[in-house]
Amino acid sequence: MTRFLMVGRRERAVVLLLAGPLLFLLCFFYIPLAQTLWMSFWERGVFTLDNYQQALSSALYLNAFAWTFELAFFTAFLTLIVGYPVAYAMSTSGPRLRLFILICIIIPFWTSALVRAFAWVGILGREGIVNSSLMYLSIISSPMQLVFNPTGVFIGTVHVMLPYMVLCLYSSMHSIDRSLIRAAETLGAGRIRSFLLVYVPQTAPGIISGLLLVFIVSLGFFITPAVLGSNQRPTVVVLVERHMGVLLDWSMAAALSSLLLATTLVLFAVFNRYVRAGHSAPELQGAEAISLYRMVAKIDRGLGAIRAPLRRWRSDRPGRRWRFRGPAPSFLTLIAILISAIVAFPILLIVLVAFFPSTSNTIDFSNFSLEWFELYFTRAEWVDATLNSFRIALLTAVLASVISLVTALGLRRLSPGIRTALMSINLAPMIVPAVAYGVSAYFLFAQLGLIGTTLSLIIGHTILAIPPTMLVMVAAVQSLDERLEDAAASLGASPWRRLRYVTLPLLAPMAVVSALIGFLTSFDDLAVALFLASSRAKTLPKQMYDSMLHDSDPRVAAASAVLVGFTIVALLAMHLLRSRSRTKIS
Amino acid sequence: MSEYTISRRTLLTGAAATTAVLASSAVWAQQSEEPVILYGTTGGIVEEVQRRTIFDPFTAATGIKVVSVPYPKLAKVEAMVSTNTVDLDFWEIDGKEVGILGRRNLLEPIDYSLLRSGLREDLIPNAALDHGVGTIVWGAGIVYSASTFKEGAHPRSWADVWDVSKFPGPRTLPDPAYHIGPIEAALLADGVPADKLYPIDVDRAFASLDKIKPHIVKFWSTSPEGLNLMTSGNALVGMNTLGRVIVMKHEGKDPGINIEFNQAMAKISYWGMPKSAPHPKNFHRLLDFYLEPKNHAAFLNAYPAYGMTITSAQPYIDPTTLPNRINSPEKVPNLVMLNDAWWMEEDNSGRSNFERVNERWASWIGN
Repeated sequence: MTRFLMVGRRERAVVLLLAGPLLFLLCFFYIPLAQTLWMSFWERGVFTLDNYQQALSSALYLNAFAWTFELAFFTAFLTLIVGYPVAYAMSTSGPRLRLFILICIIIPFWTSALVRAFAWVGILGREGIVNSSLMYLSIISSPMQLVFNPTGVFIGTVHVMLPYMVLCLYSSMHSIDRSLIRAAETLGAGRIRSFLLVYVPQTAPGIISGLLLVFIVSLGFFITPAVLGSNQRPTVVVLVERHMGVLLDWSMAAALSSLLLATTLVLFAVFNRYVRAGHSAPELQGAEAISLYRMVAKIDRGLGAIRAPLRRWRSDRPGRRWRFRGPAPSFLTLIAILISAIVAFPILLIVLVAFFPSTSNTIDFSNFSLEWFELYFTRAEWVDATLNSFRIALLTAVLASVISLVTALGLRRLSPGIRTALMSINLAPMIVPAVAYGVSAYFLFAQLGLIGTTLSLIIGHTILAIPPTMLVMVAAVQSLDERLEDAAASLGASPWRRLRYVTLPLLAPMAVVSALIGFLTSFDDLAVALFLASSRAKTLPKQMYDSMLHDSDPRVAAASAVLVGFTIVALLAMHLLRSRSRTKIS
Repeated sequence: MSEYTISRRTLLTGAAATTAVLASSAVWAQQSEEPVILYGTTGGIVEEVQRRTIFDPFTAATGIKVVSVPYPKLAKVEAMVSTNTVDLDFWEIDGKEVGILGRRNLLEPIDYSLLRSGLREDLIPNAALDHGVGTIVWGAGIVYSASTFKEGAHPRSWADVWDVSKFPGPRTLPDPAYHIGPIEAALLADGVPADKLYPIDVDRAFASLDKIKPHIVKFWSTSPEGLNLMTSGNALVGMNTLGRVIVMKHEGKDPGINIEFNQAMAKISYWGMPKSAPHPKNFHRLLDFYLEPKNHAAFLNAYPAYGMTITSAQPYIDPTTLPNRINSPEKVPNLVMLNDAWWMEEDNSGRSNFERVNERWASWIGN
């Protein structure tokens, strides 16, 4: 620490740069959370460790911890497998296809997680589209159990997490020099080999930040496993919610939240120690790429044993010489289009339900009606909630991405140890169950007299949005080529000019991505809104949740349809604006 | 827990919390209030009907506006009360919640002297609680897929629901954290007579649940979720709240599922007022207005899924709504009225039966 403080002027500026965001986190996250955690040691006015003893000795709680980590782990890997071709196709395809994929991937975010989960129940159920078409084609004779078991849960969680992964991967693929692959191919590597040995290792930073992001966010899953799972294995967050929401047992809820936080921090520390230890930013990227390269190369060598006899067999045969072409871009693109369509499908169904209402869960194509839209647009609380959600999400996006950008820029000037520590401080909001944070935030804002204000929601959402936006910005800063900045410096550019004309333009695309993630985090939040929303400050997800939970209000479908329509229009407009400005430049 | 809650919160909020605790009906009865009342609601169809049949006439008569605020979670109510930031005058709560919140000193007691005389006697049994007044009776019962089981050849009792050889197909029941849970149904299925349900034989209930568990596709935790399981064909027989199905059928829509009213289970739902609510007098005026027999019936006639809580409303109830009304005795012969008193009983360590059953459930379900 002393070494850290005895640094030059530039470094002192860094400390100042980091102080603002840290103060924000301290005031609006750590202090209120500490108040809540303090409760976990008190039961009936007496200091006790009973809650912890119970949590660590009962099979119920231990099973919940096991399932929570299992769920997060497999969700992260499945999301990577599904997301990789999608991000690849996005980075290689033309603007139109990219727009199509982007729309498909982003759309699910615009409707309540509860609505999405119910849509999957309809698709995967006994009489759902999947089972009925497979039975119609006589592929199966009785319906498969695709939902209310782990299969259903993972379909749901991967669906929710895919946009995060794709955006992370896309950010690292975007800047890859594709001529390297061509070079590898000219040197005789097949398409698969050049893809695996040259391309994939370069995307390592995106893979790592994507896996981490998805893993950590997945620890907080609540609604998705509750609706799509069998309810036989509760996650930790479900238990926290039950202790807090049904039994009003705050101490146990606080104890479980602290244990989840502690376990995750330990995992995070272990990860840092073994994967990232001792690398500075550019090295880090290189080290990840090299270790991934080694892994792939080992597999490749293993496959060599099979390849050699195959080649011999092939050369023995005169006549038609075929050569396996590997994953042609068009093949991956095809997979990506398929995945994108599947991702958008449940939302398409919800939109159709809004236009063709029917009393059961089916869509009645003979009954076109705008009745539900009328109900939605004519009720002030729905319209207000929608507009308010937009306002809150926009301001959250700005605030969170500025904080992340500043922090990410500051972090790279620090030694690896301090950097890791600061990263953990910034990422912690992600692993605290949002319900626990919601309660803590309520107490804080009550003390500040800000209860029921839009400002309290913006601050609360910014805390939630800092970790995901931070991961994106840190990855972006890491992949920054510092030589460009050094060059500017050597040419006499002042630090501000350097920042303004070199660093920020280089980071701009990723800053947009991080703002988008911040926007979506806010727009999708329910847990914090459950506590901070009031008559003066409502949000749409809270409105949708209330309606779904107690009434299955048809307006939910109409609201979803309106938002989906809005997203498509907004993305199309962005696309048109960008292509117009590009033609102007050229 | 309650002493602890107060001491911790006093630390947090200082004098404000103390004032809130000391505030009593005697104090607020003297104060004048602005003409508003804050209603915690989930919105939707029920609120629209309430507005049309109760709130709008109430505003016309008294000038007091009923403003909707978001429906609060119990944890939020506790947070509001202990920080003295109550932004709510009343909301609809379950009997168990009246018990939990009342015990924690989070609800204002109802001042029956501000309501019309004779109301306590007019209310049905268990509807006049210290911290809540019963405003409707709602119920849950057996529901079954209309396309799989023809009427007449459908499950007619909880024993039939448990009989998977006679009525094959996946089942769905609620999670016991829900207001009307599977425990009573399990006992009825096992042959316990309705008037012998309480005190609940927990071992017997779980033994009965063991038999049906392999056939349960899912224990639902919210009623739309349970309804979704039925309408999507994922479950063919189950239990659900009857409200929405009744209203759909009343409006001539076909949800694809039918109700068997035999052995339906009913509960009272209450209006409660959080401690230090801003407009307690207005709340009592609204309560009084709503519990006028004609006004009570006006709401129930427009929303036929619910039953009345005051007996004097009977003459005003629209007879065409009776076939589906949950607590009309001639239509639902074996209605089982559930009682929260047993669930709220506490053992020496201060744990309620509700908590203990839920904990046992959590380990039972995972095995």
